[in-house]
Amino acid sequence: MQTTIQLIVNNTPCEATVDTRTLLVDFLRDQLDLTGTHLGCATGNCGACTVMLDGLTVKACTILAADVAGSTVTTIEGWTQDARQSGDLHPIQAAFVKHHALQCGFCTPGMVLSVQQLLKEKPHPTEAEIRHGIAGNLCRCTGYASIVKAVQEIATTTSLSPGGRGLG
Amino acid sequence: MIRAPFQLHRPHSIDEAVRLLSQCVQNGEDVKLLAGGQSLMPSMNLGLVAPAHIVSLNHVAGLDSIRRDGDMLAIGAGTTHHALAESEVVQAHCPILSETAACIGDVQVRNRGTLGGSIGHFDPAADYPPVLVLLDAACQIVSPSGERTVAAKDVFVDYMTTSLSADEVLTEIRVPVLPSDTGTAYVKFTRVEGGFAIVGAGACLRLNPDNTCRSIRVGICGAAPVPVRLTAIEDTLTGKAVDDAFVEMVAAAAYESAHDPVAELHADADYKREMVRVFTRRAVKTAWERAD
Amino acid sequence: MAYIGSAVSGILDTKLVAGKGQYTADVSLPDMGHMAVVRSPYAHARILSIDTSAARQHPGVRIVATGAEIKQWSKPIPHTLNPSAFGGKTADIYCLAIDRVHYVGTPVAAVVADTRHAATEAANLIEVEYADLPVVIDAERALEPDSPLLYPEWETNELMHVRFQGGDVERAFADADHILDDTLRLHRHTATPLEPRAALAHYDDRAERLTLWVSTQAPHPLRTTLANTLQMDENDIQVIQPQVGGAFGVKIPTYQEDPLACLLSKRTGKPVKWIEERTEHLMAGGHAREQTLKFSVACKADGTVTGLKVRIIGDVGALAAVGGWGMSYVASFVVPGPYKIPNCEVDLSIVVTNKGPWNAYRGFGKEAASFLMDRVMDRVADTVQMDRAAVRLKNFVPKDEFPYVQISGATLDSGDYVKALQDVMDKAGYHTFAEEQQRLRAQGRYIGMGVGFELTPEGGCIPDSFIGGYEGATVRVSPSGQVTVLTGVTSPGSGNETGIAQIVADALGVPLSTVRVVQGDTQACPYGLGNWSSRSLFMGGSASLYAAREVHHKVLRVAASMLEAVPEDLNCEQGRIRVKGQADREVAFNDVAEYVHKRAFDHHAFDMEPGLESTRYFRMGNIHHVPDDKGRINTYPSYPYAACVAVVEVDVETGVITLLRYVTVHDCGTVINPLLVEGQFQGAVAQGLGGLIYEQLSYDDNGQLQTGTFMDYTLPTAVEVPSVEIHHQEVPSPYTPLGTKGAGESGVSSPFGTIVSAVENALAPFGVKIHDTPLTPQRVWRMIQTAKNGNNGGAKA
Ligand SMILES: Cc1cc2nc3c(=O)[nH]c(=O)nc-3n(C[C@H](O)[C@H](O)[C@H](O)COP(=O)(O)OP(=O)(O)OC[C@H]3O[C@@H](n4cnc5c(N)ncnc54)[C@H](O)[C@@H]3O)c2cc1C
Ligand code: FES
Ligand code: FES
Repeated sequence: MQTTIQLIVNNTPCEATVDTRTLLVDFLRDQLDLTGTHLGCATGNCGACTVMLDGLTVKACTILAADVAGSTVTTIEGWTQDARQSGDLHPIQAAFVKHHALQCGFCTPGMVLSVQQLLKEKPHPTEAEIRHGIAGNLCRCTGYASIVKAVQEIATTTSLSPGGRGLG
Repeated sequence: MIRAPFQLHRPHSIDEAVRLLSQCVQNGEDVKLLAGGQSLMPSMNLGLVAPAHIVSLNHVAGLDSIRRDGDMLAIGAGTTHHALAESEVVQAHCPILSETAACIGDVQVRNRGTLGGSIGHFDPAADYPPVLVLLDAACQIVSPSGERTVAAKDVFVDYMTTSLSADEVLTEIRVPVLPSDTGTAYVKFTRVEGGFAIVGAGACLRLNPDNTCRSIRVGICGAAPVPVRLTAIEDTLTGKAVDDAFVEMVAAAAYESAHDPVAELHADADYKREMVRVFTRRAVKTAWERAD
Repeated sequence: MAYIGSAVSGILDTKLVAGKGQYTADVSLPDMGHMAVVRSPYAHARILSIDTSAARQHPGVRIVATGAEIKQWSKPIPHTLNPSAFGGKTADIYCLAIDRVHYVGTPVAAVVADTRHAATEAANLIEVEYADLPVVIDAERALEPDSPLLYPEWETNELMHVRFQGGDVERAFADADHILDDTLRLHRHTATPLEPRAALAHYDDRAERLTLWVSTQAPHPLRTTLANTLQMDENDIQVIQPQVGGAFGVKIPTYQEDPLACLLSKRTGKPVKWIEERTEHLMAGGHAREQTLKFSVACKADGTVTGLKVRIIGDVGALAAVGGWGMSYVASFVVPGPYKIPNCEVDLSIVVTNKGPWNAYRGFGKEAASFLMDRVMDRVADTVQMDRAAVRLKNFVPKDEFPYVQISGATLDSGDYVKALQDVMDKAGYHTFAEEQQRLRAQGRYIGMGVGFELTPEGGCIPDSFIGGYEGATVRVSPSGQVTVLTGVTSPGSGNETGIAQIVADALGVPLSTVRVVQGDTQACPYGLGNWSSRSLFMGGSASLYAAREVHHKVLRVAASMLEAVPEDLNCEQGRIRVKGQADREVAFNDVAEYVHKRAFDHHAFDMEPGLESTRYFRMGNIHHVPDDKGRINTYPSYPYAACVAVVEVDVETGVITLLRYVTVHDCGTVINPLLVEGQFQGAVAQGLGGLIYEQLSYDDNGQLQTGTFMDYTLPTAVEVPSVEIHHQEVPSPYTPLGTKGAGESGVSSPFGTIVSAVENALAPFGVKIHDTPLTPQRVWRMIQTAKNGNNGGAKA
């Protein structure tokens, strides 16, 4: 069954016709060609499909595209663009690169979004808080150590002055 | 991926939602409510459920309010685990509920999953049910014939079965404002972070000035297909000195109550019973530490 | 050496971190169809009939295939490793089951439709009628004479029987001070990379060419296999590996779905896409590890191990073409690992059962050998009342005895095992741990320390297979001085592209940013065998080094002529070629490159073959396929190793194990990039830990998989995995030009022995002895109860 939805994806209003069965993750990937959001399990366990829905991270395999009509969705593509000034990497991404906090990169877009959510709520997390904050994102490659290290570095080096270049 | 097609309804009011539900029920068509989708969507992706209609509650305004109403807190069914965990009102007046919300799943699940959805889905390993039962929470339910209030203990009737019928919507959960000297704790045992509880235990404890028990309530998931409340022993403990032996008595009662635990692959009945003892002990101990 | 040895970031990382990696599922073609696979719900059954009529009528359906059609349209898939070449049994494996299913998840039919939804709807309409057959899911039961048979024509369920033997074992046992026996059991689990398998096949009818984008580790062998299966010319097939989202072995071989998608594309004349679901992956993507390891060890009172008898029963599930059973073979090949035990015999039965087929998983059987040998050493130590580390130190192959030939023919290349273990003990505070342990025990806390050692033979090279000990690479310099490296090895996320770029940048003396590594395209890259067995950097990197050196030599010749110097006096760094010690006599690398391309007939380049390109192959010099006087061959050229110490805490009320520390001294020879090596090792430890405690593929008696989703197949999260403390011991390989050894696989094996040892140490007051995995809380708790209730005298809580 088809239905038409309007929503804002990566700051761009869009209107689309979707099968009611279409998951948000498939909608983003197949209909909008935003393939930075990945599908790893479809049971809400792995976090590869993490996107931001109205400003909060969610797992896009557990959400119907047709049900988020009227919402604002931000994917890794949109977030990267927003976060970038003068073409360089966002501090979170830069720290990921510096510490090689990724190997195959499949979990990475979701992981980066979870990290930004964590730092938005807790700018200076402890190691335990970091680990809990990313527990919804499985990584099969890195064993997490490099990710934790990257987040620790951002948390100690980046200032979050309001109005300045925050981590949002 | 969801295999079977279905019709999606996006009502803007509870009345409309109830009307849609009852229409489907009358037509003999399978219908499910959709809240955060954190239980329904994985089940549909796996093909375990395949309703012909879905009625989404995500377009009904006001289902996520949290307010104090005299000596009760009224919490909208659409309140997310995240909102509940972060709510200052809940943290101040019913901290066991925010502690419970904070240990459900992971960040993304908490951002989306709702209190009402957890009750409606009623997984025997879910964290809220034992806590709601121990709090004597009341559930506000809207049905085609009007509104009714049901005690939490009467909502959870059997394995994955609630007393809600297919054309009813849970709208609000009312929990008591706990006296500020209450010590509360919810502890859970999972295989990995973010997983469902093998066993979860919640406790609320108030002390008299002489360190005897003024009141105690304990709720447990994992001990049986439905939440277990240690009603039988709670009253008899009033006035008893709270010490290690006291804690052990509660733990032993919990063990006795766990007569019918749902065996799982990595936790058979015997083990689960023992874990009920261990985690009840831990919950009561922590509640005791936190009681003034 | 500007780059070799330095911790440069992954050259793909900036792209991947922005979500710009293109994985197979991200590739789309106009008018592509979507494939859905119908799988057997039974563990063992005959297919009586398949009714596809309703599916064929379903809107949007393009084609429906069953075993009957597949048999007409294609040949069996060549085995990645054919058991018959090892004296074992074999069977033909087609893309779909022909008349019998051997495990839940066996592919029996396929549909291609316009959309994924239509394809799955149609798949649901296919009616397969099965006749149940008796199921056997236990390997020891499968060996009994009255067991149900998976392949009746074999008249047994034993796929293969292997024996390795050396020295005088009976004598060693007769002369022993102690003889100890034990039986260990490893449970079934799997790699399950985060990216499921995926394929996009496009048969272009006009060009009569097939292109397959696929999440694979080995594009070239896959192309050869497809040519065989599809009866096409290899020339008409191109295999492209997009970004791969993790592989860990499971993406080495040709799966049934790969040629299947190709066939259905060929039949429909349109592209066909298939994306595996996680549930399909866990059923049918390939399993590993499940083995029974029985041993009997003879030792002297001073802890010297004099004899060892091992019996391995590998429960490899049903037979598939993916060659996973080879892991059990390798387990037996590696015994007795790093130890000098000349009197040794290994008896191996590889057994089929009605469970998912084995497929390669990081460790590839070495983890079983490592677990076995760690347990052997712990048992010996406990029996002769020596320190567990001291027994290992006593029995290691000494550093002056390399190359050392084990009974199987495994020829250990180099190392200093004693020093590695001593160093890791120092780093981990081994000698002072007991005080801390006692202090905490007084508070009712149970912490324990364990030692372990993994030997991880790498670069496997098996006769008459695409598992080979050579690699090729091309280095090409463009007129603007940009460097392209094309390799036969691939990277599923393991980082070798970065290491190879570092090697080539150093060899040419150019900035790393000017080097581009191209991998995973059979049309572009030299023939190579792909990524597995940690071979990519030490073999592919060596081939790249050879090719780069050749190009470098040409560049220097031209530059020398320009600078009126001799090549030997020149030095190239960061793209500037200088006469050593004379800063003003220099020419840019780019200018030389342009010169060579544009002025091949001018005097600086006139007497030289034109072009700045070289393709070179590298082969390991220490692989022996001609049997020695004892009939042994050496199939592994590189033997990295790791000595490890683990510290755990056990919650004795629940049986929950928390890994507090994991410390290692790791030798992979010359470290090209510590960031990459450490990342690999850390990830490997996480997988070993996951396998030991959290992950299990569990079957019920009917052969139904009980852990078919990530809800029940629980992978460890960031909360469960601690950061590993990694130290390097660089004993260069004598057999590679840079001294590199295999790196990447190491770390996955040692957690089994090391953590088990630590848990036993923590639970020593109860006298718990561990024989089986996984160490789930329930099982550990029960071990504690049993030990407490037992009259073993050690049970004091
Ligand atoms: C990875 C993961 C981990 C999880 N871990 C935990 C955990 O540790 N502990 C835990 O308790 N839960 C856990 N959950 C489940 C989670 O808490 C869900 O949010 C919750 O069970 C369902 O809430 P929902 O809003 O998502 O409901 P939905 O999935 O939308 O709905 C679930 C069911 O409830 C019914 N329903 C929903 N709203 C109402 C209503 N207002 N009135 C009547 N019926 C209604 C629906 O019909 C549906 O059948 C986990 C889920 C995931 C994906
Ligand atoms: S794909 Fe959504 S959580 Fe795994
Ligand atoms: S980098 Fe591969 S899954 Fe995380």
